[in-house]
Amino acid sequence: MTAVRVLLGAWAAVVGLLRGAATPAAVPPVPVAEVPVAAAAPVSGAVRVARAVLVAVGALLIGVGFGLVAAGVPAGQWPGIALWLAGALVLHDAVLAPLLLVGNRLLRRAGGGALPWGAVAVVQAVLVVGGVLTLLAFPALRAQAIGARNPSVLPFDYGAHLAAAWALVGLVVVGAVVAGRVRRARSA
Amino acid sequence: MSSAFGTARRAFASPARHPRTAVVLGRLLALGFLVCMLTGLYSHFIQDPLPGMVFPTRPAWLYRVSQGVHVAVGTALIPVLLAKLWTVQPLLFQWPPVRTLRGLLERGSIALLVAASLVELAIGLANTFQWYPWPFRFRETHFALAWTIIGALAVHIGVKLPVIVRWWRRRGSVDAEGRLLPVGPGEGELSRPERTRARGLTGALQRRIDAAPQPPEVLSRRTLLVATGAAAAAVTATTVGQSLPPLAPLNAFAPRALRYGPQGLPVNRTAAEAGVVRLARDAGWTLTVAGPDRFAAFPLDALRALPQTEVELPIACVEGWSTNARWKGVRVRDLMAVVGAEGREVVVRSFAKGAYSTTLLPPEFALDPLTLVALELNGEALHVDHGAPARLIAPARPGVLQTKWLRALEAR
Repeated sequence: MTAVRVLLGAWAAVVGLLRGAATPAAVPPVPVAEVPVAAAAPVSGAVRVARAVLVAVGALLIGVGFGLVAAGVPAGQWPGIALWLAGALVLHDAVLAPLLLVGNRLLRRAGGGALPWGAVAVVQAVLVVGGVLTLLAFPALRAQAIGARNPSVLPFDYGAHLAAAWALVGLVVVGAVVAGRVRRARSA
Repeated sequence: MSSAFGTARRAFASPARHPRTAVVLGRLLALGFLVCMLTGLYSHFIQDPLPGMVFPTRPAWLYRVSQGVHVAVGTALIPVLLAKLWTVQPLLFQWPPVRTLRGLLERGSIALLVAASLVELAIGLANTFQWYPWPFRFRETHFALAWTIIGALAVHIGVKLPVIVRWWRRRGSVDAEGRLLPVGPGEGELSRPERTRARGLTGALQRRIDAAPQPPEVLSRRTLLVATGAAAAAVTATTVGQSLPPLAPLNAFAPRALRYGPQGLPVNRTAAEAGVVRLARDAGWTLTVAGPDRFAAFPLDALRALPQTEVELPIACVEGWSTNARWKGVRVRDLMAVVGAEGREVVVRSFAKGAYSTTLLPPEFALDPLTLVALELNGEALHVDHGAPARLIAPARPGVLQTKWLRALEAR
C-alpha cells in the first residue's frame, strides 16, 4: 500500500531523472522560482475547522475501503489490485498525458499559422469526443472478441459504429479546416 | 533536475490550466462520484441488507432509475475525470516532489484518489460489457474502491479548501472580459513558472516550448469545458438508450439494446447456463409453497387455475440496462395466504445451481400486490431463458433477485 501512496512522487522523480540526464553536467544550476504553496493564503476559522473534519472523515473512509478489501477480497488478490492501481497511474501519466501534450503542441502550431484559433478549438473538441468514444467502445470490442455470454448481450457491430463515429469526427475536422482557411484567406 | 521539472511545468502550462477550471471540473466530478456512491450503496444493500434494513417497493421503477443513473453517471464521469487530471497535470512536476511529511501524505492521498478513480470507472465500464480482465473479485473491489474514493476525495477537498473557496464563484474569478484572474501566492499552483534560462538540451527544449504560439485565453478554457461536456454528452447519448426508451434510436455503444432478447427482453443467465433446460420442461413440475405448519404443492395447471394478475414491471439489471415488460401470474401474497404465511419473509428457491439460486423476499415485497409468480411474459408463456415454467417478479428490485425457474417458496 505504501508503494501505491508514494508512486506519484516516485514517478515524478523518475521522469525528472530521465530529463535531468539530458542536461550536460557542466551547466551550473540556475535557481528556479519556487512554486508557491497554499499555506500562504489567510485561512479563516470556519475553513480551518472544515478542513480538519474533512481530512479526519476522509482518512476514516479510506480506512473503511482498505478494511473492505481485507474482509472481502482474498489476500492472494491484493497484489493484483495494487498492480492495477499503479498501472492506472503509469498509463495515465506516462502514456496518455504525454500523448495529449504532443498532440496539443502540433495543433497549436497550426493555430499560430495556417488556421484561426476557433478552427483549432473545433478540431480539438471533436478529437476529444472521438477519443472518449474509442475508450467506451474498447471494452465492447474486447468482450465481443472473447464471445458474448448469450445472443442478447453485445448486440451491435461496435467496430462499425466506432468507424462511423470517427467518420463524423473526420467530417467535422475537414469542415473546420476548410472554413478556417477560407476565413484566413479572406482576412489576409 | 529542478530545471527539468520547471521545463515540464512550463510545457504543461496552458491558459486553460487554472485553479478555477480545476474547481469547476472538480465539483462536477465530486457530485458525480457522490451520486454513484449513493446509488451504489442502495444497490449493494438491497442485495445484501444489514439486519433491520427495509427497502421501499414503490415507485416500481426505483431500482431501474437508480441503477441506470449509477451506470450512466459513472460512464459520463470518464471524460470529466480525464479533463480534471489534464487541468492539474503540471502539479505532477512540483519541485522538490515532496517537502514535508504532510506533503508526502497529501501526494500519497492524491495518488490513491487518482488511481482508485481511474480503476473504479474502468472496471465499472468493463463490467457492464461482461469483460473481466482483472485478477480480483469485481463486486467486493468496486465496493471497497468506492469508499476509498469518497474518503480520499474528502481529504483532497479538505487540503484544497482555501483554493476551492477562492475560485468557487465566477464573480471574483474572471475580469470584465471573461478572462481568468491571475493566480496569487497560495491561490492554486497551476500558473506558468518563471523562465529558468537553462542551457544545453533543457534550454533548447525550453526555447521551443516558449516559441510555440499560445491560444487566446478565454477560447482555450472554453474549448476544454465544451470538449469535456460534448464527450460526456456523446457517451451518455450513445449508451443510455439501453434503458431509456426515448434515446433507444441513438444507442450505438451500450452492451444491451432495449427490448432485445427472447420475448422482447434481454437475458443474463440462460437456462442452458443454469443447467435447468430439462427440469424447466418437465411436465411433472410443481411449485412447493411452505408455511409455518403446512405446505401446498401447485402443478402448473393449478397455478393457471388461480386468479391471475397482470402487471407491468421492469427487469433492471445491476449492469444498468433495463426493459419494461408485461407479466401475468399469481400474486405471491395469495399463495402465501393459502399456507397461512401472509406477511412473512419468503425464501425463494430455484432449480438453478450457483449464485442467486436461493434469494430472500422481505415481507414488504412478499405482501406487495405487484409481486407475482409470473407464468406469462408479454402475452406468451414464459420463455425458458426467462425462467419457465414460473419466475418471481417484484417491483423495485434488481434483476438478480427476480429469481427464475422457481422450485419453492418457503415462509420464514
